[in-house]
Amino acid sequence: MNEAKIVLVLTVLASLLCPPSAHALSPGQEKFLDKLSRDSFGYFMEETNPENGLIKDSSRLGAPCSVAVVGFGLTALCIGESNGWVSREEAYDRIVRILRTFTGKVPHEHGFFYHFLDMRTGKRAWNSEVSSIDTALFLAGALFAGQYFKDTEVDRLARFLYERVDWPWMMNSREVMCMGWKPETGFLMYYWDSYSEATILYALAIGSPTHPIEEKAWFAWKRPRDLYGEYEVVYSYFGSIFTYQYSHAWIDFRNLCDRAGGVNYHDNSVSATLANRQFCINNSDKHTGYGENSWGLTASLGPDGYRGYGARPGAAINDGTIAPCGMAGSLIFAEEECIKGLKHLYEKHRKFLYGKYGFKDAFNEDEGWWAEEYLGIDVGITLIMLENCKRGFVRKAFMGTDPIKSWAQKCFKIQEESKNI
Amino acid sequence: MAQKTHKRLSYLVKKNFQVKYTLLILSTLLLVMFASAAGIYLGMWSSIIENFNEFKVSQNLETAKRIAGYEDVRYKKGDYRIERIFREAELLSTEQRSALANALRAVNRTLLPKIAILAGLIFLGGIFLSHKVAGPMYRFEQSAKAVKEGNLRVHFSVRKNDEMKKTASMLEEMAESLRGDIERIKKAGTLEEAHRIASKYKT
Repeated sequence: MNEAKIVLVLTVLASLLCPPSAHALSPGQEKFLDKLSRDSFGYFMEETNPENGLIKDSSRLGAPCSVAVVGFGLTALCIGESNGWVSREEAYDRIVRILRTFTGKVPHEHGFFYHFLDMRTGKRAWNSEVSSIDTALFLAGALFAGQYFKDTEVDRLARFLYERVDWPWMMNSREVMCMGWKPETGFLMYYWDSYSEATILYALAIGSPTHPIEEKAWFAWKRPRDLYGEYEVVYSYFGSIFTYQYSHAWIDFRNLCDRAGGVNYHDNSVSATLANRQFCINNSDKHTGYGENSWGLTASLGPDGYRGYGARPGAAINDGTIAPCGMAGSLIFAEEECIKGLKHLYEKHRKFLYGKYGFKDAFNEDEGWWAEEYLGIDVGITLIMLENCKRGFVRKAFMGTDPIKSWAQKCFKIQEESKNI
Repeated sequence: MAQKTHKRLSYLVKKNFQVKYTLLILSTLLLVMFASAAGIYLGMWSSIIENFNEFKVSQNLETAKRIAGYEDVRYKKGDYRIERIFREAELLSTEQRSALANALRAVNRTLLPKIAILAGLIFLGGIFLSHKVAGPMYRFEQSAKAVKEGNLRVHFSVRKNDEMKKTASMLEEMAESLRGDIERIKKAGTLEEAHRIASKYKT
C-alpha cells in the first residue's frame, strides 16, 4: 500500500473515530439516516447508461444527462464503495467508464462541458450552453474520485480533465466568470458576479496548476449582507438554500476566513440555514407545509415546474413547496434541526414522498401536489451531506487536493484552531 | 429546287430492340427509385417515429419546461411566466429541428452506401448491355473494312446473346451474295457473261 492510500485510509478511519457529528444520534435516527443514504445512492447506480456511465438529470423518462449530476455521481460511487454498497471493483469500473467517456466522447470547449448531454451519444443535448458551474461540479466529483482512487487511471483522467480546462477563457476578459458560452451566440450575458453556489467554481479556477485565473476574481464578486431576524447572512439572489450548500459538499470552509470582508462561509451557511428555517416558521400560518420541522426552501420542482424557491434574505420566492433536500443538504450546518425535520417528513409523508431513491423531489400540501420524480442534484446533495455529517471524509479528502490548498492560501486567512475537532 | 425534308415517320424503327432497351432502362431506374424509397423509409421513418411519437413529444415538452425553469433560476429571471412559455417553445422547436436533422442524417447515412452500390451496378450493367450492341457493331466495322480491302471471306457473325442478329444475318447474306457473284464473274467464260452477272449492281 503506498503512502497516498495509507493517508486516505487514515482519513476515513479518523473520520470514523472522530465523527464531525456534534449531535448524538438516537438508534432510530441513525437507522433512518443510513436508509436515506443507501436509498439515495441507488439513484447513481440505476439512473445511468451502463455503456458510457452518463447519469440522468432526473429519474423522468427521456431526461438528458446533466454534467453536474455526473459530478455528484462520481462522489456518490466513492461513498457507496466506502460503505460497502458496491464493490471496489465495480465502483472503480463505473468511475473509469465515466471519465473515459468524458475524455474521449463528450465534446468540450476549452475543457468546459455542455450543461446537458445526450444519454446515448454523450453529445450536446437541447442546444445547451457550455456551462462553467456544471463543469466545476463535475470536476469536483472527478477530483474527489481521483483522490479516492489515488495513483490509478481515475486519478490520471481526473487530473487530465481538470488541467485541460482553460479557465481564463471563460472570464471573457471580465473581472468575474461568465456562466457559459454557446457556439451559436458566444458568451452568455450572465456572470457569477455575486455570492452563490459558484464559490467552488472560483476555487477550482484559481487553484488550477495549468490555466489559473487571477485571484482578484475571488474578490470581484459582490457579497451582499442582510439580516433576517437575528441571522446576518451574505446572501444569494434567491435565498435558495442550495446556494449555501453545493460548494460545501466538497470544500470545508470551517477554518477559512475570507480575505474579503472576513466572512467564514461555513458560519454563513449556518446562519442562512437557520434563517431559512425561521422564515418557514414565521410563514407557517400562510402555508400548511411550513413549520419548525418542515423547511429548507430551495430551488426544486413545484406545482408550476422548477422554480428558485428561497427564503429571506433574498428574493424569497415561495408558494408552500418544500424540497426535503433543502434540509438534507444543510445537515452539516444545523444537524439536529435537519435530522428532526427529515425524520418528521419521513414519518408524516412517507407514503407520497419517499420512494426507491429516498425522498422524492418536493411536495406542496397547500395544493396537494407531490413530485413523482427525483432530481439528480437534489439526491446527490442529500447523499454527500449525509456522508459529510456522518464521517466527513468527502471534504477531508477534497481539502487535501493541491488546487484547493493553493486557492485557500491565496484567498483566505486559514484559522489555526480547527473547528472540526 | 427546294430540298425535301426527311421527316421521321416512326420512332419504333426496331421495335423489339427499342422496347427491350426501354424496359431495361426503366427497370434500372425503378430499382434505384425503390432502393432510395426503402432507404428513406427505413432511415427516416424509424427516426421520425422515435422522435415524434406522442410519448416522446410529451417527454420533450416536459424537458423543455424543466430546462426553461433551470435557466430562470440560474439567470435570476424570476417569475416571468410569459417569457418562459416562449422559451419552452423555442427549446422544443430547437429539439424537434435537431430531431429532424438527425432523421435526415440517418437517411443520408442509409442512402449514400445504397446509391454508391447502385451507381456501381448501373455502371457495370451499362458496360455489359452496351457491349451487346457495341460488340457486334465493332465486328461489323472490322468485317466491312476487310470487304473494302477485297477480302470477301469474312463473316458477319454475332454471339449467341448479342443484339443485331438480324442485321448480322442480312450482312452475311450480302457478303455471301457478293462472294457468289465475284466467283461467278471470275469463272465466266466470256466478257458478255461477266457483264450479265454484274448488271444487277446499280452504280
